[in-house]
Amino acid sequence: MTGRIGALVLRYLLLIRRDYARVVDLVYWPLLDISIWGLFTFFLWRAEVQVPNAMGMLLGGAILWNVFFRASQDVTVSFLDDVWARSVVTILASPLTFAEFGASLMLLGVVKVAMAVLVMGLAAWGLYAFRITSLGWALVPFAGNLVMFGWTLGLLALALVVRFGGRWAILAWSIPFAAMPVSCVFYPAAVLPPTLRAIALALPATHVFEGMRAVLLEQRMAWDHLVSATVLNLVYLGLATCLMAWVLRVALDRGLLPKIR
Amino acid sequence: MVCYHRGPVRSGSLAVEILDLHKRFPRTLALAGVTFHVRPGEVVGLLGANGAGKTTTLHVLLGLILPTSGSVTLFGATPHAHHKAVLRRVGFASPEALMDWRLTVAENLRVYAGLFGVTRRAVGHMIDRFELGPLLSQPFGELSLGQQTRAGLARALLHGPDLLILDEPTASLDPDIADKTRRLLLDIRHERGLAILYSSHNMTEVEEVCDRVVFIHHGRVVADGTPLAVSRQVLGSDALDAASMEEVFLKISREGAA
Repeated sequence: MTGRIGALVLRYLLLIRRDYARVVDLVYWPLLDISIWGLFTFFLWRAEVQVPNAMGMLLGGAILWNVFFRASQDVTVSFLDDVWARSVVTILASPLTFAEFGASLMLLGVVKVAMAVLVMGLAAWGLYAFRITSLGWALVPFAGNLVMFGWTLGLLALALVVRFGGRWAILAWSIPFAAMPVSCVFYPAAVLPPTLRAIALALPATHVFEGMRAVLLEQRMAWDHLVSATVLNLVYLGLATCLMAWVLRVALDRGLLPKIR
Repeated sequence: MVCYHRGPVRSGSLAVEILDLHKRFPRTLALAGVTFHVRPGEVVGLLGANGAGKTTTLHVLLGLILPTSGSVTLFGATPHAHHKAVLRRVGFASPEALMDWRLTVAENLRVYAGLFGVTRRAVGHMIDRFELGPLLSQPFGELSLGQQTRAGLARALLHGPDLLILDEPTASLDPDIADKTRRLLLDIRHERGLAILYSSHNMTEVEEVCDRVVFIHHGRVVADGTPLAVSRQVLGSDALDAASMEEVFLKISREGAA
């Protein structure tokens, strides 16, 4: 099993080496985010706007947002790679199971998250002398929750691509951004109107970013937010897995897999 | 229907056994009771006009499509329930099932070796067998169609399958390359004794390569036997050459049942 998952992860990593556009994608967006939020922090300082630990809050938010975005996007985009290469049938006509295929997509997301965090960490240090480690190791379990929520949304987009075809690929990029306003990346959930706040608190991402602010501003581990994020994640990831299994059953029944374009 | 068997068929000893296979899609009945088998070591041509149901049948065999009803087994096991066990014994190649065009031939073979749990030595053997050495560092997408076909066949045979499923393997190839590919397949069949299920529109190829042919028309098997037996039955003639197989194809495609 690990050999087959490893083979697919190897394939995607070889692709990064062969396709320079991927390297640009891996470096460009993280650098852009760090640059924008770092410069915005300088603006706040110069304008003497009082935002406690602004650098940590904004750069921490940008880094964690990239963790979520990468984990979500790469589940679908990695599958679309196979669709565009017309190699879906070739891969599925091997002893690889759907579960192993899914696991490889998720694992690859983790690898790319690690690469993005490395790039952002180096950029924050090089541009603003900001050490990513100063955010504290308490953020690691929150980042793990963001990866899980990213997988959930990635599976949702993947299910739509498998069911309705590659023209739904746009969802791979847009679904994470649709969740951004109510994920409270850069502001607390308390500032949202009641209805939006209720929606926000139903998302694991909101609890992660609230937890991050508690770690950075109050130097305390927000266990309540960590538990809420984890429980919500387990529920949503379970539902997304069930949806994917159902869509695969429909795809096998309707012969959709060999026809995905 | 012509049905000619060389000997008794024992279930479980067959490379492929399809019994009364039906596949209904929301708007079409793709397969309406397909029945045929492939013995170990046998080369069977799966023939029929476009839309007859050949590729649907092959995709059911690979576990990519669920049958509506009927029974499908490869080496006695169903592809859907025993996916890993079945596909370890099956190789598949088609012009529609490519390797990644951005990766080199060597990188692609390395990846598929990992998927099938194959050693580097076996990969090296296939590289030699298909004379892929000079192509190893080239991206798959930059190969000619003939070279892609060779690389695809090497990939399909990497793990030493007992059954090779080929969906129009020589489509789009020029006659010279198609002939070389056929000879390569016959050599491999001779060396390994593997069964081959071969979908093609090229009747010259079919006559040269296949022990038996199965004609599908509108989702049903309308003829099953040696090329000679099918030709006799359909055309009422003893002559067997490419032209006659072409006539068999045309007659079945235009008039339906043999």
